[in-house]
Amino acid sequence: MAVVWEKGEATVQEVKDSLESGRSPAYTTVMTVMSRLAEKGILERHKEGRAYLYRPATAQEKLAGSMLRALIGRLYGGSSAHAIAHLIEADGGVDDAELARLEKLIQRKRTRS
Amino acid sequence: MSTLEQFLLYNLLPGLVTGALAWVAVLAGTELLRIRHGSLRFCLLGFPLVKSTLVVLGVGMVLPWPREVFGAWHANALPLRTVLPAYLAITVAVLTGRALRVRRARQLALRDTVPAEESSPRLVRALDRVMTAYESQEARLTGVCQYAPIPGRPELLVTGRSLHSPLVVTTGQPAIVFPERLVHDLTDKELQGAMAHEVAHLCLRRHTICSTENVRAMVAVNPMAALMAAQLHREEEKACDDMATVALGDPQTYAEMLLKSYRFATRGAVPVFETLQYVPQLLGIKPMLSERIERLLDRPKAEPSLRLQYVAASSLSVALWLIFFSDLL
Repeated sequence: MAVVWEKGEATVQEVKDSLESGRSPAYTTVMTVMSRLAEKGILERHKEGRAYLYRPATAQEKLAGSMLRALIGRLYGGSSAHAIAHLIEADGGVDDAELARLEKLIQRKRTRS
Repeated sequence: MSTLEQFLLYNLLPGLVTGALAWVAVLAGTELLRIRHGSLRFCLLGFPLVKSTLVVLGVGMVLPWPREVFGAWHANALPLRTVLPAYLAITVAVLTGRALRVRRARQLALRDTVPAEESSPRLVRALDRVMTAYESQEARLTGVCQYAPIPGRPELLVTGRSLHSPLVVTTGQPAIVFPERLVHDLTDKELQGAMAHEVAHLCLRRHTICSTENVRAMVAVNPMAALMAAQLHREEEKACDDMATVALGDPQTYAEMLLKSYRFATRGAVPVFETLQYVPQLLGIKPMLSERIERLLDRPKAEPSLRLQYVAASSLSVALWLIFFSDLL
């Protein structure tokens, strides 16, 4: 979806090419996902030569909003307040460097005692 | 000005301001007076929530002085008789929703689990040792938090589904659900540490009225509760760490268990909320894992006695009442 939003419209091959920098999915995998998104009304498609050309049927903000609402509905019983409370409580931000520092701290303490 | 605008400006906003002030006062007071006892800290942290809720309801000012400033703000607030019916209706709806969610949460937690006796004898042994340690160290545990043994041995279940960390079920028969893969990651001693932590949660949640869950349920009626719940969550984890290290007697191994459990929880995590997880840092809150491990390892040799902590907590309560409630006297 990010690729189609960025390009405005794209073929399956173009989306696949854009995804090559990371893990490279098979052409058929990208095609299946895009067909399903079209069936769900999230993408629109029309034939251009031999290939389908896809364009977004839903604005990014609108889709993100509805996905977030669905997620909050499933995880927090629809309570945004609980989702926000959880995010405030979340123990995020411990990166690899911090984990290594904590590990050293434990080892140092163990050596001393 | 509409009633809603009046409520937002003269009830809710002062409620948030006073709650924040009381919160800072409690945190500063507990640190200055070195109040470490878990239950005392829980009680004191309930204070900002009570004060904030009362101001939202139109009872009392942000601070009793300067009266010209806060008195004028309070004079425009919707009175208790106007706010209370709506407030009670929302509270009843919230509590009903919570009761339903608790039932559903139990069903979800126990889904796809098997008794540990069938699949993980190491885990069962760890729980046995922890239960014995908790029973034999009751006096020392009481010095850490308001400890009361849980009636009977909790049900111990293992799950193969993707669970990020062990969880406790407090409704009905107490139960501990443990992720199967985590059992393989931890040594026997670390498993005991993890078990001791979960049993501590069971003890605390049964005996603490001002529990994180109860406070979190109030978010819909007082947004200040989100901040309070976050703080109480940290306090609860710390109190459980204290109880578990008393039972285990080895803070280093316990700290290693915390580190391994964190790595397990974040392994292969999809970074959907990666940006949002930095919210605690933006709020200036130190990552909880770092705080927990550092305090386990850098514990001062001489903690204030329990009696001294009770005296300090009582003095702090009186001071807080005088500062925040003297306008009601």
